[in-house]
Amino acid sequence: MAVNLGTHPWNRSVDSATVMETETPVKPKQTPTKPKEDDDLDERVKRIIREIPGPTPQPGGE
Amino acid sequence: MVRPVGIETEYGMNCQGFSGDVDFGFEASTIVRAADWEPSFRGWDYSNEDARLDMRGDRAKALARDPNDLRDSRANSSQLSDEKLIADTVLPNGARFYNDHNHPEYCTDICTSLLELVAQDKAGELLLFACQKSRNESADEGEVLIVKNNTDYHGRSYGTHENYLVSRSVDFKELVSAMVPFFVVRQIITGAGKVGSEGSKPGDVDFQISQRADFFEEVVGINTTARRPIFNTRDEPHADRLKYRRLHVISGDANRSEYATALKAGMAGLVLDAMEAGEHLGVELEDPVAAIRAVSRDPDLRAQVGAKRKPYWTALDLLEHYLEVIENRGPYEGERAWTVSQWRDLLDRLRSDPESTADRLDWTAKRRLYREIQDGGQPVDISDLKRLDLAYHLVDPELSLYQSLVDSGRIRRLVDDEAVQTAKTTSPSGTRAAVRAAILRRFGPSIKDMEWDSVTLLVNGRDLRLRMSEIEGPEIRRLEEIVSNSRSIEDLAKEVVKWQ
Repeated sequence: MAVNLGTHPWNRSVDSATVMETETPVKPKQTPTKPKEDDDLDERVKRIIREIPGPTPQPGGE
Repeated sequence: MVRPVGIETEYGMNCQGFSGDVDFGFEASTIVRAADWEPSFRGWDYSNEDARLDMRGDRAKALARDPNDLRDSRANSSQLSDEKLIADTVLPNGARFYNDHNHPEYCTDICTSLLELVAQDKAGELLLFACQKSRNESADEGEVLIVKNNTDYHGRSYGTHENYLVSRSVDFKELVSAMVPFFVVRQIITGAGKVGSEGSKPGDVDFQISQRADFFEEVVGINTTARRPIFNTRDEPHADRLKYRRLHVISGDANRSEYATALKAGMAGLVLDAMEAGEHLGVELEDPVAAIRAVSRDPDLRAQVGAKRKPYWTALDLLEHYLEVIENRGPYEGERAWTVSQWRDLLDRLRSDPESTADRLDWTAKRRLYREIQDGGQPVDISDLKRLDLAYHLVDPELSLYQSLVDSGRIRRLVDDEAVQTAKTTSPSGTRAAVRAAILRRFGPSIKDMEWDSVTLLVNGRDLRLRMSEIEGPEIRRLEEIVSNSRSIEDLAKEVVKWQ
């Protein structure tokens, strides 16, 4: 697994305040550099309401 | 390193455009068989499994089934062999993928790092999306949208289960008394949020914290598909049963938030650590089933949990009790320290300003967005909100509301896309998961059967069963070396016989 714990903020013994100050949102590396029109959240919400089907019945599981 | 943990997720299938009743077994099987990650092994060794073994010492005569499930269409699935219908698959990362009760289920292999767990879990979302695309491009009719959630919003639920290895020396009653109240209240951090209510006691609920709380009917029990208990007593450790129990947690939600997934496992692991160290954490509740529902249905976090001892009045109070016991056992390092600090910070924020946690928690992220939409003057009714709620959990990134929140910078991530891509083909490290994956990679054609704690190899016409009753440790590390260094299946067989 290519996860380098040595450079991750988790791999430090620090108090909670420090952890929160040093943490920054981790953005996915593949975020498009040129935002599409759909990336605007309001537009996405409108599109979902317009296009996504409502929940359909399914079997129970487990 | 944290306590060994794995997550199994039954994905939902939102189906539309079918001319008749949907055969969910057939669709789940089709989805699973579309998996094309290689090398894989098709099959599963059930010979050592027994889901009726009960921690309370008995073996259940039968497991309860939801009678509604037995009426579902089998028009196409009845034509399939059992093997094809269940479609058992072991993936290159060691995960298991199969059709479980008519839902495609992805089970991570065992992880001892929360980051690895998150990456492995997220890899499952990629897999399901790829399978969805494949199915929809090739199927004759209908469209299936895969959802990582726990409800169809029509009164049926499917599960997301966590599995923790616990010392069998921990008294069973002590385990129940500590974990039941914890499961009742941890949802205020780990809940995935849901619009509306379902189950046997639906109420006038616009939004609730948990996807699952509506579906629990008993405090303790062995069933999972009907009369669901908060504490499941299935006793299948998939390891040395004299040393371990597997705590099979069925009360949790399917999380999209990476923080919620990590905290779900990290917090439960710390509670179990404390128990194994002899801490008495239990706080008796008057009615845990009523309490888990009451907590879920009060996103303002004022609901009383019915604790018999003061001062644990609300979920916040009770979760504070667990955290204080755990903080007092510190200091911690690594992922345990991170879990404690996040737990503290989130609890404090939930007390003062719950929406300030919307960058990390599924339910507050949803609630904040739904409020904004409603306050913004956009006309939305309950069916629109349910549509949005469903869309949050879609695995298709183009359609997923969760992904929209990530893309807009509103929800933080813990692992990047590269780590998730890597997790598709790389097992969790340092445990027997790495051994299973290495055997699959190097000696796949010689595998006759696999399960969590054993691999059966066919060597010159004879079966060689490799048992791994420990999860990690020097013996497992030695075995991983043997598999990596063996030049042929005969070499491997020779070394394995010595190792055993």
